[in-house]
Amino acid sequence: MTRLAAYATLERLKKKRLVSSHLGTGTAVRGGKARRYYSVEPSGVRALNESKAAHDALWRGVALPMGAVA
Amino acid sequence: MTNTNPPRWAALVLNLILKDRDRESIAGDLLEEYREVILPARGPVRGHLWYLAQIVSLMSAPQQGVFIGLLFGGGWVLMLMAVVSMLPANVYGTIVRHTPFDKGLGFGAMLILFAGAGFVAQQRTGDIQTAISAGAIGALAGMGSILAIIVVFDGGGLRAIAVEFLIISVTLGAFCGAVGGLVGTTVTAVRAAGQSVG
Repeated sequence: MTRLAAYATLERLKKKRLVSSHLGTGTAVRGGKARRYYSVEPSGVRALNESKAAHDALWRGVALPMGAVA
Repeated sequence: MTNTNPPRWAALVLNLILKDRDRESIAGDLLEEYREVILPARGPVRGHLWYLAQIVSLMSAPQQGVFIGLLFGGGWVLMLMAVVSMLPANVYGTIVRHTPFDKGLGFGAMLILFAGAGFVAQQRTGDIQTAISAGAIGALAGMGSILAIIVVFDGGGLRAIAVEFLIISVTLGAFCGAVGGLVGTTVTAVRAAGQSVG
């Protein structure tokens, strides 16, 4: 996963209000530049739970490991 | 003491490609990783390459095309201008002291470059119009490269003034070319007078 993909994904989640962010204080090792902190919003937690439930539902009834198809 | 900073020009390019809201955090993330992880593990040369690769990876495809084109192709005018404008300022700042005069000195050196182009053109052709064109073309090539970077990379307000800036730059280049041409004409006239007296 590239750095750009990570930033773009976080920005998309922020636009959907699933996460929020704020800037911290700068540190010397960062040249005084602030670090951005992300937090998952309640709507983000709900979306995560729904996504997990949908993923689990996809596999329900499937016995693993599957046998070879003839 | 070891320098733990990435190349200044690369940091400048990074600032140009990042939007205002990301400028602090992404530049800080890169610098932190560069100083704490990359530099100790890979050393300065490979560290600089890593930093450059990260900047390119943050660019969109058109931005990458322009950047690589400028880096390896038509950026020579821009580089010449950068050297001419930065060298006197850096020498002055190092020997005397860093003041706002540095920027004025750099700007003045760039105008002298355009005037020099006009002077050379006049000496070669004897024509003042060619001198004006030489100054204007020098400004267009150099400033055009800078503006291409601004227009492609800048996410904010600089784009709005790009065309006006280019027009002013070319006009200034033409004016300096004319001054250089007039100096050339005077030099030619004085030389001719000296020969006729001799």
